[in-house]
Amino acid sequence: MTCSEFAVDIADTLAGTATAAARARAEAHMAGCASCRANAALWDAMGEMPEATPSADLPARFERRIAPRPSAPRWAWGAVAAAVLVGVLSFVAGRYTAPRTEADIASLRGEVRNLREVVALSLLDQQSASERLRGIRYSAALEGTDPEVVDALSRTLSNDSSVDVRLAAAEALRRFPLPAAARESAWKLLEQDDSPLVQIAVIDLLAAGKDPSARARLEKLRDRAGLDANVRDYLQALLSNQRKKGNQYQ
Amino acid sequence: MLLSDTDEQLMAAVQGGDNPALGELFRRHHAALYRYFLRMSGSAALSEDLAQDVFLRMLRKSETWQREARFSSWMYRIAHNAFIDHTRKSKWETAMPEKWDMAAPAGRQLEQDQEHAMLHQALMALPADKRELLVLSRFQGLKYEQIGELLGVETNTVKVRVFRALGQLREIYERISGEPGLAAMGGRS
Repeated sequence: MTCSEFAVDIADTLAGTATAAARARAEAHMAGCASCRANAALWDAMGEMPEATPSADLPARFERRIAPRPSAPRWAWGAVAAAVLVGVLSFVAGRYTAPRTEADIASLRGEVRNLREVVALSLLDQQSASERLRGIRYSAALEGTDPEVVDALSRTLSNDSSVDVRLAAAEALRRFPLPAAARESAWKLLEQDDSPLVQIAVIDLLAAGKDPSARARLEKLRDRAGLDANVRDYLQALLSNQRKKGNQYQ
Repeated sequence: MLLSDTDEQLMAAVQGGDNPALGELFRRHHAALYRYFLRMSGSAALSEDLAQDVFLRMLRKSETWQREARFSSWMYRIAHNAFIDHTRKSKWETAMPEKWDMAAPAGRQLEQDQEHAMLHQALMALPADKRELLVLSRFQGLKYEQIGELLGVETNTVKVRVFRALGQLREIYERISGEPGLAAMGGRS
């Protein structure tokens, strides 16, 4: 008989779930089959492999992620609807009552920009990660720098439960000059975020800014015990490149 | 929520909007899930990410939990899907070698550590579906019936696949170690 014909008996014997008869059949086969004996030895060896343990603070980090977020502004969607209505009425009224002036056009542009901002802010507070990603795309497409949008992106980067959303927020923030509070949140995030991908995106964000203390802080981060090896390598390469380019932080 | 509640009672509480119950489930199961992902991916950081992702998926899809189902089977089904999704999204990512936090070995200990390192290497070289069968049955302690439910196959099919995966693992191990058999590991006689 071939080894395969004993597959079920051997699998049950290895797992300790075989009947006496199945175990006897498996052991009789293994006594005369070096390959199946070696397989069984491998199974035993797997059971002796050391068990790794996750970071001790992982449960605490997870609890932070599921803690209730500040509730979504209830006015947001109402404001969107109102702004759309005002926009349409202004357009219709303007078209039929008076010729449009440069000032009217500028005013309409301003309203549209405000509308986009409201939509972006509303989307950033949605339950669905894909909606929040849309919010980030809207934010990144906005003209100018609205402190409220930057603040919302910064909060998303720090608190969002989805790695994809946090990565997108870090990328979007690179378009804006970071205010001090947002910059400090990003530094704090580097201590707390458990995703190496997000850590690298935040490092890029901070390195791209004009903060004169960034280089020293990045060097300190590079030397921190427990930093992910990939992040450390990335940071090392980034700092070396910047040194070659003429110490842009100094 | 009581700490003496079963996993199933806690999950029913999560369905009712009790987020702290999910925190308690995470405390109970995160280490096992972490080890599952670590054996599958070889990356500690990714494994911590994916373990959290599994519980966030539970929160988002709590309505799909059926109260008569075993919690651990449902959890591993989500973990299985999370790993597949990750693999699809991140084909470019290379698994990093696992680092074991152990004291410097000597003598027999050194020999055993080298064997474990080669065994780990052989596991990582195994195709993911076969590796998962061995990880679930050997490291995670799932019964063949549970694995069958998880993968949607008959129990005996699982047993045959485990047997074959083990054979393939041995072939890879022998190529890596350059030795036929596993005499050094003190295998069964």
